[in-house]
Amino acid sequence: MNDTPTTPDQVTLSDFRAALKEFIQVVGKDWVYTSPEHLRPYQKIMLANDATRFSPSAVISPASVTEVQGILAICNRYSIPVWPTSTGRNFGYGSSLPATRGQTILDLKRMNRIIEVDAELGTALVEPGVTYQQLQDYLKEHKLPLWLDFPGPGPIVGPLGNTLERGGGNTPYGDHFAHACGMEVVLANGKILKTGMGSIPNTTSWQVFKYGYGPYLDGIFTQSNFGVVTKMGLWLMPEPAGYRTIMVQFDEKHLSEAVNIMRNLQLQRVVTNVGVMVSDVMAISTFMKRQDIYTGTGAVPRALIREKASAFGIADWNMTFTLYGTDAQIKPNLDIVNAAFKPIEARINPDFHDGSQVNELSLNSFGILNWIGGGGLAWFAPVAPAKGQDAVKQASMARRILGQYGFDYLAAPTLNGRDLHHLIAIVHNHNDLQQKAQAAACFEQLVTEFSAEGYGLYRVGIDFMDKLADIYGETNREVNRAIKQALDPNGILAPGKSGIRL
Amino acid sequence: MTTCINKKQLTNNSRTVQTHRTPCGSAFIGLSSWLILLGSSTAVHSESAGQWQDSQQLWRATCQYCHDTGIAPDLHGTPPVLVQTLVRNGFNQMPAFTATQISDNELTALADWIARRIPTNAEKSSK
Repeated sequence: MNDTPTTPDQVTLSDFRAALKEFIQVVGKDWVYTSPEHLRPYQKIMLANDATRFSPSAVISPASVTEVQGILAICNRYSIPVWPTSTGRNFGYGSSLPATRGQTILDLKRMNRIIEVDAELGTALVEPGVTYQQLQDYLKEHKLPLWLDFPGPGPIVGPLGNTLERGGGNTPYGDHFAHACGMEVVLANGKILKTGMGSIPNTTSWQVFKYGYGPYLDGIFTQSNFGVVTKMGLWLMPEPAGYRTIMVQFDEKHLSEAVNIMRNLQLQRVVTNVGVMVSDVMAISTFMKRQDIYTGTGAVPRALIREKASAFGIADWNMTFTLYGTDAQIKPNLDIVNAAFKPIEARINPDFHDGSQVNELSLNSFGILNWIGGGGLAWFAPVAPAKGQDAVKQASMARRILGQYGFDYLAAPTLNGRDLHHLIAIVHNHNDLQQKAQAAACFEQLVTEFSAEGYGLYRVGIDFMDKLADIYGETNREVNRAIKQALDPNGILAPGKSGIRL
Repeated sequence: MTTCINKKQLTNNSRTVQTHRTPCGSAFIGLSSWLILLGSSTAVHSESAGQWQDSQQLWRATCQYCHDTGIAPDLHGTPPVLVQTLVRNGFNQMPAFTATQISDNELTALADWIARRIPTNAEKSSK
């Protein structure tokens, strides 16, 4: 152990050292880290901020629920704030790091059991450290005809953590929290809560019926700090008989109509998966470097982008979604899709390939980080009603603000029926202090202006959690504070997560 | 116990997936075979420190997604010590990997494996 670790606020060094000794008694000396070389990988962030603002005091990695309980007892005794992570891969939102400096990271990676898979019902029960790769390998090895839905960095991130952040993917199961069923939560006082049907002795239905009896509690353990989730049930998609992934390409002038058409197709259940709509710059950034197109200052001029995009068959907007099922199911729906987009003269490719929509893991999304290089990424993720006028307004605002700071409009709004998650990657050179500062300022202005227009973010990085909580309002904060007070009276669990603290 | 696995042919324009059907024919597949309870046993495919099967599994599940696809540099011939440093610290867009994800011993073995790894024919021809 390092002799002079960073200590949590308001915890004396002697108390902290005493706590570390007790942590070692719980998990063993190999799983308590305070040395700089052990803490360094936890401090690698992509956000446009200085990682030292969020430096952890230590890392503890338990292997069981019992060990989690033991750790929380010590944290209560010494007032040690502890920040749980599952796989620690919250890229573009803060990765592993806590919202405030000095917290101890509770690294749950070692809790990585796939506890149960029911192939008939399409359910799984997993621990925090399980990755999508691990789960997919498991399903393939056992020849279980079930698909996964995963976010961009799927192979190295996990379903429990991504679901708790209310992340998403691109199959019909793309809303991950909507397809979670049942949690095991270690509360701050060490008690274990099993949500939904899980509290019934010898429960038979924990992973099949979400709501149980009384208030539905699972939501309060997402994007929050009210407990440590140590198990989660998932619904898995039965492997379809077949599929066709469709790309619809259209000009900027048709953005509004295209969004309305897609919304209707989704509400009518013609299209059942979470589609995505990629801007031309975003499409180009997946396989080209910005410097190969433009070496000047400011955002790449539109004319250059269009010239390059046209050469590769990329339109202003490139929408993809998938029809699943038998030929008999797909064909009539494809006819409906073709007819729906005909009025806007869209170019339709009915045989596109997008692995994220058909259970193929990849890290291709990392390609966008090569656009500028230097590894900086902050996701700006406002929600919009799935109406053409809102999509056009948000796109216009985003382009203007990003352009003011010299950034390109790397946008990939996900299409979720009634809403768009207008995902925008602020890709920057993390090693260039000036550019990093520009990215931070840009993000702040985006948050401010979008909020003023009634567009809230669905998720945000550790550096903007308090600001976003303020935007959601004081009553919201008061309710969260009251729940926090009731469930974690010493405030040991992840203070500052989503702006929630005592 | 019979499992009927029916791999459909690619017909017309739809992409079909390997389709597993059960129960099939008259052979009843016991439901217990479809409910896999691992209880408290160690997971079959654990992917964290001390649990990787070998360096190849670690490479396949983690590194190859970027380093065999052109997203990140080809690592053939990279000195082991450099691989170890990059894995623990990350570099630019490459994330760092903690000691709970890859143990020190596993990292040493991985770095040596990468240094010794012979490019496949496909990799050679892509250069």
